[in-house]
Amino acid sequence: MLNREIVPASGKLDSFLLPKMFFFTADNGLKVSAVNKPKLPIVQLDFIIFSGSNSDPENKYGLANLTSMVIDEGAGEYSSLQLAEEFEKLGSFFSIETHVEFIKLSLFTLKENVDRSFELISKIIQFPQFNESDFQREKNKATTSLLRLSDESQYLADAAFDKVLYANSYLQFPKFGTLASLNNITITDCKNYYKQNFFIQNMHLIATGDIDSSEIKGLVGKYLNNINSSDEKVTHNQNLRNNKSSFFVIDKEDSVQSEIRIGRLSTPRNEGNHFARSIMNTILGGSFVSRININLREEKGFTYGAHSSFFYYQNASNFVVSTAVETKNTIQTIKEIFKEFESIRLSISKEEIDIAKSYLIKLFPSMFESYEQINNNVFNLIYFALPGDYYDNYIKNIESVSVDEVQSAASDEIIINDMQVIIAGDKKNLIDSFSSITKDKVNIIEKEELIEKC
Amino acid sequence: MSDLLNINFQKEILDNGLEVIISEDNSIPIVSVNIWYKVGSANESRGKTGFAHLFEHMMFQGSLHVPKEMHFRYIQEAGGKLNGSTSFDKTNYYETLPSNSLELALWLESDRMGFLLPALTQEKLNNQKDVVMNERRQNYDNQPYGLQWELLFSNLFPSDHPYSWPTIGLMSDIEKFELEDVRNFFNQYYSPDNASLVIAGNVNTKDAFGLVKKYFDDIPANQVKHSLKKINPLLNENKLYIHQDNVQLSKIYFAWNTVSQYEEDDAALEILSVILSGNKNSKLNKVLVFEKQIAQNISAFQFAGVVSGAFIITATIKQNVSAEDVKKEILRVISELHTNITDDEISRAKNSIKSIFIASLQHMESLADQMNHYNTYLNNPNAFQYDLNRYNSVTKEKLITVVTKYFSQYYSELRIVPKEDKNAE
Repeated sequence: MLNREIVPASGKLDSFLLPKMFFFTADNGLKVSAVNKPKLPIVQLDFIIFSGSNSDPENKYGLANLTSMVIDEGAGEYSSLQLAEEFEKLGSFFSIETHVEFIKLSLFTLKENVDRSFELISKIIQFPQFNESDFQREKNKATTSLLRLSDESQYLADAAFDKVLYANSYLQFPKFGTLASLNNITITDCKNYYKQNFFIQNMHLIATGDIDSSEIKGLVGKYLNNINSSDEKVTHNQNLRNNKSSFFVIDKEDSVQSEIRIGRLSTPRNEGNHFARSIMNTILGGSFVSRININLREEKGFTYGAHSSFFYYQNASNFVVSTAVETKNTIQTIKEIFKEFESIRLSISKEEIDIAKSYLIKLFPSMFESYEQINNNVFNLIYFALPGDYYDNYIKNIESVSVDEVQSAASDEIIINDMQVIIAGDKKNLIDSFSSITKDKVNIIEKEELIEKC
Repeated sequence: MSDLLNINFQKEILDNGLEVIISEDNSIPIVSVNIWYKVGSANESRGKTGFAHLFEHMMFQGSLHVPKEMHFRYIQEAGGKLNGSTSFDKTNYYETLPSNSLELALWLESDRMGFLLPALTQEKLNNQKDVVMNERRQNYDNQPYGLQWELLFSNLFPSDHPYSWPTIGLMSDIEKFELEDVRNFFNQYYSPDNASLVIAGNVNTKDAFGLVKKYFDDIPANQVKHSLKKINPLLNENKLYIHQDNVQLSKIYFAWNTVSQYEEDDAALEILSVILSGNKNSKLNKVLVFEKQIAQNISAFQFAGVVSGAFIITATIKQNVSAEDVKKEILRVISELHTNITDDEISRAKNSIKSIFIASLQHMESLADQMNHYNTYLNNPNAFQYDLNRYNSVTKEKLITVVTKYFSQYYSELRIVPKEDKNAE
């Protein structure tokens, strides 16, 4: 009879071949990365523009996002609706995302339609129409989106968190802008944003799929001969430092939960020991069985989930714990999170570290399953200027992290006195309870500051 | 194309009724283990809503040979990811992990299929009731428009219809569940003869069947009587329900009773939804969002489960625009459908659907889940091509018949409006 007490041991794992990444510059100067993956007859293409809301001019926050919304509203000989129809005929999916430090134009296409799809995306990149009527429609949409976001506690908490942590830096401004800043934007601003940021030296094309480097070179040569060129370096001011820990509340009247963010500025991606930080975070709040989630969810039942992460920009980063809890448990939750901070600074066991390492190492092949995942992995290499053999050495680098290095990551990054506490919740039922955790005055951030004012 | 959507598999049914499907794909050394139990919130009754979902949570709380939290820890240490989900009609559990840990996943799944109750405690139940109540707060009560589906479905279906209550359940019901409920539910539904297991990935089919038998063969069947039946109720008048919420913008919803999944007309209704709102150029989007700019967004879709189906249209209304104006335009676009659907629109919709089918093959996890879906409802895990053909065979004539048939019926309308909105009516 089967003995179910015995935990099955794992067998030998078949070897995993990392997809081969090719990096080259096309004849027109466009930097390209390509992964040939012929498993399915599909191609995933991402055009990255290395500017995002960080290039929004003062008082015109939201410009990058709005420009991205307008850029595919008519291009070349096609009006907005015609262009959408051309993609749809092919069954190709085109989308644009704006981030703080980059804009991503993505295309999913069947291999059989890659030529025509590439031609269409090339028109968007090179010949956007920027019509006034399209601009007005999209601007109205962006404004209405903000009203919609102002109802969301998560958005308010995130926006306030950035505002507090990244004060004095471009990173403090919401990429969607505010009602006032959107109001300041004209079609000329969009055209200027496009001119100043959509140039070949500021772009990178990433492709994974049933396509090889020479085919991509061919497509670039055939369709992308009119991209702007510029020697300008896009630079951004940055003036970051951690401030003394404070409490901030954004009033979200009648919420039944508090959205909590606790965090501080942390060491940038390429400084210090990135792998030790990842292991430490996996133990603290980066996985389901992390200390914070087990405490707040599986032991206290305070939340549906709590987690922590390091969020990396190119030259800045922050640590953050996020969760949502019932209003009455807000203060107790904050206390528990700080307890976990104290505790991880004191000790992390070798067993915990081994399990976290095992997770991060064994998870590795599944990071290369979909075409989009592969593109994202290539993107990380470029975005953070990582070495070309980064993924080849990934497992070795995790294996070699020592217990002391993980412990140091905790003492270097989990600094209690720097932690800012941001809560979006029902102020009237919260405000009196803060006296049990702080003698300082609790700061109030008005919703208007996040949504309306510049 | 036909080869691409022809997924290899082998299927066996164990003596205890468990259906087992194995699909080899050796492109990457991972495996997805996916198990469906044919029970969902549609098996509940009024006063006991939300139990199928709460039960799903209890399945992660350990079983006779797996201490609390260890289910998660074993999978994590193996480099795997896991989750589960509950819907009206089914509950599924799945983990994707390095393929050399297949046996671990089968050990864990079989332990909770066969030996959950001995590990059950009041403490675990209380804890997960709190977690689920917080899940409800976080994802429904504290979300703008969070009650939308609950309100729409409770006004579309009669109060004894199994889709008239939400899968997450009502707070007042979740609070009341007791250990006895867990035991009864387990005995009633969690049995190998009510389950279907798909293993997809880098495995050897014969070895994998061997492992499945090793862990599942001795779990006795409970002779589950499967009880979900098709009901396609019809409204006997138009309904309007207005709900005030903490929102800035109003939303409007329409729902028509249609047909359940895989029934005649189901695929045509889906094609119709793409023609109405699938992209920028679709009929509703073009009129309301692009030209008149009275809606921020608009979406149409055919919802279809085992029991019933509904065609739903929902729009977010721009500030200072009346709901009546938006309603008038939506109904006008619909009233013109029987004269203005073009062959071009139909072929574009079909092309999009084809791409979605192919894109869905990228992930072992979604592939395994889809195979379980097809196996459960079509008795064929490899129904990808059959399913795509359902869409490809829809003709213009069929679409016109469908438009005439369903949109001439009564509908249920819901408006979610800002609090103290004087113009709500």
